[in-house]
Amino acid sequence: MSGRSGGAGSALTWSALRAVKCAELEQAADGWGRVSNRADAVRDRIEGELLPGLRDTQKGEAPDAAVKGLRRLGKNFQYIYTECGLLRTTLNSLAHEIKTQQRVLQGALDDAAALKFTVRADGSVTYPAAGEGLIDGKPLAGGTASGVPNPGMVPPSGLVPPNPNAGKAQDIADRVAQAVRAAADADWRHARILRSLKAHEGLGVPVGTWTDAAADAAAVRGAARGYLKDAIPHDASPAERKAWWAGLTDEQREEYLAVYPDQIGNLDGIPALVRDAANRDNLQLLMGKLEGRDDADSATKLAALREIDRQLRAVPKVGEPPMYLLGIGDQGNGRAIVSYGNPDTSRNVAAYVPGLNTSLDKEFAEGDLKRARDTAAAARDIDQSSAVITWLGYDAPQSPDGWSSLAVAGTGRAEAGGRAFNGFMAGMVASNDHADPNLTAIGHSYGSRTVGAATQQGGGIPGVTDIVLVGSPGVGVDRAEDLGVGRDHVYVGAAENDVVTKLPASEHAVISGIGRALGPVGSLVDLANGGDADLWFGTDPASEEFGGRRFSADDGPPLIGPGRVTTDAHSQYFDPELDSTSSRSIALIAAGRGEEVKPERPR
Amino acid sequence: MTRISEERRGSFLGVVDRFWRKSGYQMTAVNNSAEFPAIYARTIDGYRMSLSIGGQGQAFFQVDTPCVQKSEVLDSTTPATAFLDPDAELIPRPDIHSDFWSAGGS
Repeated sequence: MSGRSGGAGSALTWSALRAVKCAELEQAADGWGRVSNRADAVRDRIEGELLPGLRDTQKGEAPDAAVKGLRRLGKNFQYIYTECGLLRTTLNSLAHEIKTQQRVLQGALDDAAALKFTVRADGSVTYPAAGEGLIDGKPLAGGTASGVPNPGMVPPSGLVPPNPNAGKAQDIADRVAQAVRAAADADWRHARILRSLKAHEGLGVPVGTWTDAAADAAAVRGAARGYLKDAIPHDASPAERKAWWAGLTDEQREEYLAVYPDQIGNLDGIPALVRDAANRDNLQLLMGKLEGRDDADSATKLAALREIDRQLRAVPKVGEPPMYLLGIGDQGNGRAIVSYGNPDTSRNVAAYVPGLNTSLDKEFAEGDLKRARDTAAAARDIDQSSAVITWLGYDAPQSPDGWSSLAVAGTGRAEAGGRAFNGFMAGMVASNDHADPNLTAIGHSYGSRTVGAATQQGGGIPGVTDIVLVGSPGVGVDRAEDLGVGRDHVYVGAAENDVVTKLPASEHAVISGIGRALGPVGSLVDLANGGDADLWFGTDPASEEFGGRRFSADDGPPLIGPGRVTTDAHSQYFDPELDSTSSRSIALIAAGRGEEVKPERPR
Repeated sequence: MTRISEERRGSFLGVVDRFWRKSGYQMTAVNNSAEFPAIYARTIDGYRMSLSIGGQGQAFFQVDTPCVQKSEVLDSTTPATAFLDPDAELIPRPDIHSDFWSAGGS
């Protein structure tokens, strides 16, 4: 078949369309699929066996150079995997569309044969004499009808041919013409994509190539929409999605992973290992996409993605929990969900929801991910079957642009975030191998307000039996028992010098007036100080009145220390070096042993 | 590593606790949990340390320095005293029996 610009289909005849052997296209697609799989396996071997082996056993400049070379080789194979996977789906999508048009054509030809009409090489249809002349009663002469690709576009002539065969012939000719035109159009679209699936020459896979790969994936997605995407069960429950995935053939799974890593990677209910594989590919494509842009937002997100990529490529040492990328995206302030430890095989799974001023930037990729990594490592000291997740699955409020913007955001961000968090946790319940896993939700700062919102929607947070609130400005309910897990399963960490946790208390005078001039730190002080406290603060979770279980936390540096103002006391609850008592308490709860936490007197 | 039985954990932490106090360290927190006890201390120049018991009686010592500038730290060159599979995801739990430290209730 030949693609012609304009896709008018004049080069394609119906007999050529009928003769297209779609099975051959599908065989070719399978061939590309095999190449793609081989490349993926080789990449796994390089990154999983060769690199760690070299690093563990050799030191010096030669092995360093070899590691560099192997890394590049791994990237080359990843690129081959992605592009060959796209080729495969493009060919399958073409075969799917051509087969559809072949069926339309065959239907028309069958009708013509039944009526004893002749379909001529140019697609026109000859019909025999039939009916009765108005004047002489003789059958009316036969004739020929030419199809138009888009019936209705041609104005009716007003002269209705009286031969009853003429209308039927016209219908058949129209269907033949439409099938040929649609097939030519599909051919043209797919040919254009296939021509664009080309790599730069040479062994390097430069940035531009990944930018191209991102565009390639988008193009293939556009073409394969009818073929693949409609089947992704976005509206189903996580358990149904898990069943859908389990019911696919290996070939189908490979195609979904190659063409829709973004959809499969972020679909709650899909197994963690699958999401991780999809998101690692999606990460490369996202980096390619953002590398092609030069605005500040893209640069910020790109720095975060690069840092996540760096961590994913590092081989964990013995005792360090392995990393799984459960979600990644550049929408809004950016999305990233990272698990330390396998959340499907672990009996204890905790998810940490970050808060105020969190977005997909380098600080998040270093600091917020470290919180889950540290907590996971400490939880596994207690129970090895534990995983801890950093969940940035919502747009947290950003306060550097002023308190007023936060006031406008109000509880909206927490409500929307709560819904997304509940969907994610339902996915964790569905994909976890244990009948009765211990699931814990950990909210820090505004993230505790988001967790609070999640508990008030539907039946609460799916599967969650324990809730940890640290550095919380209030969670939207006044009593621990209102969170729905029992007051004994609500744990609260509040450092003495953390201003955010002091909102309902009366110490505002001390800090008032020093806010606005201090940039981001100042805006946090402002937040602690100003605005309408009823908006989302509520009762202090560390108070006697709230009724949760408070655990001890280091006081942290005072807000006004020697020569500086700092809110560091708000950010060290997870840090095993700066606050070993608090971080260890969080780890005990994450490991499902919260009853062993040493209690602290409530405020 | 030596298994420390639940009955002996208190005395094990007690020995260390007494030594830390004698050395002039300030005890900052104590968790009296029978299964997962822990003690935390601080020196006058800001060093912090803890001794905690994890799963199956595994003991963890931790020492942290006061604020220092962030810098590259080389990996420890001291090999583990017991065999450690380089591909292992988890550090093995204690498996050595001591007549004293591993003893059950009398």
